[in-house]
Amino acid sequence: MGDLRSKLRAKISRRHSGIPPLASGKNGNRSNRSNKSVEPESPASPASVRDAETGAAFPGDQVASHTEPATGPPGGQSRSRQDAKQHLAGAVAEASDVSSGRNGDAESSGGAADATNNMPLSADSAPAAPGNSGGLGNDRRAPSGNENPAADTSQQSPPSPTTCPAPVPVVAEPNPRVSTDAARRVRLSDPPGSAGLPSPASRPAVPGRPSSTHQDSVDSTSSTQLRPPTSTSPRPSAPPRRQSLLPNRQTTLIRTLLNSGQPDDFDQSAAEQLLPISATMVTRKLWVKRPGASATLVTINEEDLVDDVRELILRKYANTLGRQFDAPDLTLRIVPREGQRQERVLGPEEPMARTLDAYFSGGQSVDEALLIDVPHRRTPRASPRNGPPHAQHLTSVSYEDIRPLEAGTDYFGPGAVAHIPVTLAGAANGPTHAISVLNTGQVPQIPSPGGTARTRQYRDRPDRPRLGRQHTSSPTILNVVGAGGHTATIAVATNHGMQHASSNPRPRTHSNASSDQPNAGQPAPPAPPLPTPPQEPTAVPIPRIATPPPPRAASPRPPPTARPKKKKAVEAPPALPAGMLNGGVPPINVLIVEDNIINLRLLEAFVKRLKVRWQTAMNGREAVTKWRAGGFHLVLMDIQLPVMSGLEATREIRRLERTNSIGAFSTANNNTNNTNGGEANESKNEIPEEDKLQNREMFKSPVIIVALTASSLQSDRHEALAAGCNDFLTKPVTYVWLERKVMEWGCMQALIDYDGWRKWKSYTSSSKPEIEEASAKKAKTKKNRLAPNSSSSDNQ
Amino acid sequence: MPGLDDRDGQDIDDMPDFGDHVEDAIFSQILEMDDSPDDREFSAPLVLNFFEQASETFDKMQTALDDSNLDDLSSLGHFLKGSSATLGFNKIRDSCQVIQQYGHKLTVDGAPEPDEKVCLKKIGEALKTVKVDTAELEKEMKKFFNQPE
Repeated sequence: MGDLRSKLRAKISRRHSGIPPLASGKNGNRSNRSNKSVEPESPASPASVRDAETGAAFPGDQVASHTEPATGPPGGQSRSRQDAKQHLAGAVAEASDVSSGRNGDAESSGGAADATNNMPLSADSAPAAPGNSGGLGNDRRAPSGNENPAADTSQQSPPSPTTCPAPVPVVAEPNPRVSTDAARRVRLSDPPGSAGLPSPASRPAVPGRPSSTHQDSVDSTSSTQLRPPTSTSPRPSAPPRRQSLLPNRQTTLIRTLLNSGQPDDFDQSAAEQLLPISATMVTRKLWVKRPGASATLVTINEEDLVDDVRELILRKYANTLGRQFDAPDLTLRIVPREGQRQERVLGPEEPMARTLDAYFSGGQSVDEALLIDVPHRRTPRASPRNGPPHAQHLTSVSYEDIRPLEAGTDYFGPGAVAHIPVTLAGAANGPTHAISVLNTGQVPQIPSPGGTARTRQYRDRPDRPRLGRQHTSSPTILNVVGAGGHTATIAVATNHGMQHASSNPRPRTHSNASSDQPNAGQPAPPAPPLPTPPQEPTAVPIPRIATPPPPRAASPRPPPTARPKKKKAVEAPPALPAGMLNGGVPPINVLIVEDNIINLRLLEAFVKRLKVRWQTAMNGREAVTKWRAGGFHLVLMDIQLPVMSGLEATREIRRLERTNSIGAFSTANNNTNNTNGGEANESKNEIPEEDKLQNREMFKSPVIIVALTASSLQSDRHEALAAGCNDFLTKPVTYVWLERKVMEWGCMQALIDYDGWRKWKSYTSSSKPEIEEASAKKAKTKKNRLAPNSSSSDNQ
Repeated sequence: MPGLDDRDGQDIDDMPDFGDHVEDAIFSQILEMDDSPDDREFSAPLVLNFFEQASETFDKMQTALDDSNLDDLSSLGHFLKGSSATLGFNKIRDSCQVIQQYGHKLTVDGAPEPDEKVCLKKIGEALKTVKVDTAELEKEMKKFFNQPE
């Protein structure tokens, strides 16, 4: 047996050789791609970090210490004022972008712009500073004394994250020069290299939007402050900026800030003028809540529509709503303050801020939070990997080449069993030579790795069963029948159906094959079509299937004989249940050798349920006799048997196999037969008459013998191995394990005995459509019969 | 098959507790082979056949014991061990294991026991035990399968 095993192993591994490179190549590609996609963004991150840090941390460190003594209590404000100045500078830099076609800029910087959009207001001039410092400094010096108004404008609310939209009047007016100086000093003392300043911890402060710059909404301020952008530029033009720090929609703010900084004669009154204006802000906070839950603030922009707000809400509820709903699914309800007004659902097109103002004059309080309603029906969304079994294919298909299914992790590695029938079906529908293989039963001897259709099939099937795991056996009962065992089988079983339905990305799948068949009008099941061409022509109208077999000369095998090959095929239960067609278990023929009637009956019941053909033998002698008739793929061999023990019977079978040169691959068999014939007295070339197998062509490969051992003793196993068994099952045999073994070995045998598969295939494919056809016909006639009746009754 | 009445009139969905007589996992697997709990078409005859087989085997064992035929005892023990294990009848199985082992002139642990008399004595004890256990279990099983005793 050792030779067989090694041969098989070699063969299998050869067929496998094409697989790993494919998978790894794919991975490689993928990772490359992802790298590429990341790249454009990467420049953004340092910049944005710097933005955040300088915006938030700077003033706190240096400026505040400078100004606070001077301003006293409103130190916080002055700090934010410094902030505002910093922002102003940023905005100044920004303005050039804005005025000179920001879009192009944004596009060129790609993902960078996106990144900055996330924190628009934390943007600072820091990124621009290195290049800009000269010009900017000059620029700032001139208007320095007059920056206050701008600062005021941009500073109406303290930087606290709980900022209410309600305006906060400016209380203290610190010495402008001091603060400006401070700002400048900070700026100038800020070397470009240190831009990436303090600790990342300062970043979390950003969401509060330290500056909380108030927008001067265009309508109210433009008359007094806003100048057309063109007139704002006595500034030297800044070097081209690589990224924009503020989103498009805040151009208003930028212009406002810029312009407010320009006029030299701006004074206190102007600052006061601004107060009413700043009631509307660039950003404002909006209370929202889910019904019955606590409210939360969402920061919105002034121009945001309800539709935008929904988006923001989803971001806020990223874990709950965000995972299941899309923004359009949400509805927002507003509950008016005055009881008499009805609550109502906000339309997506309403401007949020105005609606709010209309409903809640003086600002929205927590209790007036907008209610978020979600639809009852969830957007269906399968989890990435472990979707429900019936839907798993939805997600698994795309991964399948890289990651086989997890459900089939028993013996072969994932999914092996499930794949087999599919692939064979695929062969049936594949390119012409694959079909011809099916029709003629001629399997290319050894698939060349070069890449014919066959090799592609092999590549498509990375999880074919591997050899080299033959000496396995059932664990003790407790392990088997424990929950694990059962679920495992169930998983495998469900897999089958699923795989059939979905796994094959190739256009034509198993089901297609069978549905094609009715047209083909293949012969009835009891007489499986013989591969000889003369019998075929009438039977195959479909061109694809009718493709003539390749030149017979190429056949590696002796032409198939006309006499019925498998009497078992005839014996097979006449009406194989439809379950078999769904193909859980490969269509193998099992010989059960068991002397105990009780055990035998149970094993029979098991294999019956597995829907494989079987025969029984009560002792070793009988087993050998039955085996000699041929056609068996698997023998379940009890070891302790009367008349002839299981081990003796096994030895005898192996001996006969050797004598008759039955190997996994008949062509390679002659050599191994010679080298391997342990019995020197056995004549190699002349087979003794009593040893000669009658139906030599029935023996495609050595039969697999699975020993049924009562004990799990290692010594027993070794003995059985030495006798020529392939595997073990520990008694009492459980269904789960029996199924596994039948699957495992059946699949392997099916791979070897391609001819047998072909027969099975033709059997199933021709029988199933017939059934369907018949039922369809029945239904049709019924319908026809019914239709006139009903119509006539209608007429009456 | 003795006149079997496969109709299981009662709704016995849950397996009764057979105690340490039966290993539930194995036995329930056999019950699962039935098409429905109401129709123990498969398991009932199987179990009843087992008791037939057991009583036959006990007779043979007794004969072999009387003949001091250890080899027969061993193989008979093995035989019944197989089917009782298949059905999950643990107590019977264990006794059969004892009979098989001493038939091989081995203790249960596998140590050699050269004294045939000891072996025969042990086998006799085990046979007695297993008969009692079997009778007990048979009663319960027949009740479970709603069979006349």
